[in-house]
Amino acid sequence: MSNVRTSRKGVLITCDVPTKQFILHLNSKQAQGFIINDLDETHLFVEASAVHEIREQLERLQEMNVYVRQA
Amino acid sequence: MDNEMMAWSHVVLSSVQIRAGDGAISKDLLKGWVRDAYTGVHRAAVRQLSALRVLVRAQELSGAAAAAQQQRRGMIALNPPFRKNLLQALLTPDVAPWKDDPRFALRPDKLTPSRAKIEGEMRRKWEAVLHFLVASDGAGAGPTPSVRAFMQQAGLMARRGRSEQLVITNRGYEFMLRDIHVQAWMFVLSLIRSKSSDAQARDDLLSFLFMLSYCTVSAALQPLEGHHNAQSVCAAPSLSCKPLPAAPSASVNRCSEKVCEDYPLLALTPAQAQLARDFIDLGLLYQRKPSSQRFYTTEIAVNLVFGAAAAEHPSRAVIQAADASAQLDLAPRMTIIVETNFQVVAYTTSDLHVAMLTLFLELRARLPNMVIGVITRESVRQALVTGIKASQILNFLKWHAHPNVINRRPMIPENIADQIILWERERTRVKYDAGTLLDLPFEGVHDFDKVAEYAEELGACLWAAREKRVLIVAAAAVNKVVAFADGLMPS
Repeated sequence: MSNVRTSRKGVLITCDVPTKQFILHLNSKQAQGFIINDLDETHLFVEASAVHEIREQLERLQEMNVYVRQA
Repeated sequence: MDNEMMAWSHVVLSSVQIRAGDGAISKDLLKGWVRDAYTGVHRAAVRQLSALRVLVRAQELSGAAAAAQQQRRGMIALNPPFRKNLLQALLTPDVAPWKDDPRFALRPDKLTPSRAKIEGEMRRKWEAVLHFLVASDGAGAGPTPSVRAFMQQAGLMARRGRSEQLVITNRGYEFMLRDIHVQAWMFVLSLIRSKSSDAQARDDLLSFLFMLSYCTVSAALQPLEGHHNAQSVCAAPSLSCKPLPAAPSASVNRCSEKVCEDYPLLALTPAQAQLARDFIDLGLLYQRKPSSQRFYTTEIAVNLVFGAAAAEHPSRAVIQAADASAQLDLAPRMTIIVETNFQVVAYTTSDLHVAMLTLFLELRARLPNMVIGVITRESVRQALVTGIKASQILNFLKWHAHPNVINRRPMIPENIADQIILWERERTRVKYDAGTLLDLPFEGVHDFDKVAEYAEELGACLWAAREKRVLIVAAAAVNKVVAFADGLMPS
């Protein structure tokens, strides 16, 4: 019998606390969640297919918080 | 340069002089020929030559009885093949490769290009390649397909999205900042790698490179025979491109200073000819017209093998001297001042430099001899998106620092440097690692720790939680870790 009960492929996301909360928020908005395992405050294990979307959303969030002086 | 090179040639020549047998000599005797002040240099030279297997321990040479072996302890000798070929080279008057074969003898070229023309042509072509790399609007036709292929193969440029257009990558950016010798060398490396399956072709290419390093750009006035020879053999290719000392007599061919050496293309093997054609595309070699059967070398091509050493040991005085001389006439210098208000002033006249700057700068004004730009979040972000790193941008700015700023510490205002790094970090706030989550239902913590430790040793442990007995392992090592876990007895 194997000592490994389950194994699952995915992507480990390492980030700060607010960013993780934002990703949780993204997850809750989707009908089918992409989070496989909520590991701890700064780590998440998600479906590989969701990474692209997460990246884009985070970039958009950052854009919203930047003030650019008009030349 | 000279200390080191001299030490090398001194050691080699000393060992050549030993005629007896296979030329074994005791280390102490060899050292005895050196003045006390230079023993350090001498020792370093012996060490380096041993590392290159030019010098070998006499014991390693076979064919001596055990008793004799004892006696030979502490003796060194030149590597026999090296010794044989060196002697041969010293005794043959003709240095130029491909010249001794009458089948490929070339008639004198009626329209021999001048050296200035060849070097100018090389610079023009090479700049075109770099220009293409930074993708500044594609003025002109752009480089040939082989150069394009190289850019992609070496990972210097990549297709972004679905578009046909190639965009510079992180590696390409690094490539651009390097010295031209290193760039040429990287090109050669990628070529050799692409041929790595074919041993014959690879050997051909390597021998071509070595032969090139014995070519000369222009047939400078021939110094005393034999002397020239020894020089080019012992002191490595470095010397072969330097203008040789003018012979006192002016009776030599009156315009020989300007005459460039030509070499027959037909003497090359197919693989070599292919490489030569690639070099011609890049400007490293010069050919008057595509149908011509002769080619001319340039300084960069001659120094190719030597220039590679520059990449590994940039601190070496030898290389610096050679580089400085090469750079002087190669790249018009650009000097940059970074102001605390994010404004950047760059003094340059070259379009290429401007194109390089626009990778991370927003241009505001262009004057005949200078460019003014601003570092903005957006402009830096664009550079970061292509994979250029903040440290690369900063190094670029430091590398080209204006003489007035160069002695200031820090060279780049702190707030600017910090901001660029912060902008980079903004993008790397989140780290994504593909991996596999393993659920290990061990009873005790002990077994789990063992597995975690093992994964750590492999450098594959991304995350571990003892309480939950969950481990995340990098994709590459999953099988190993699972096998290890299964190997443990369930407790």
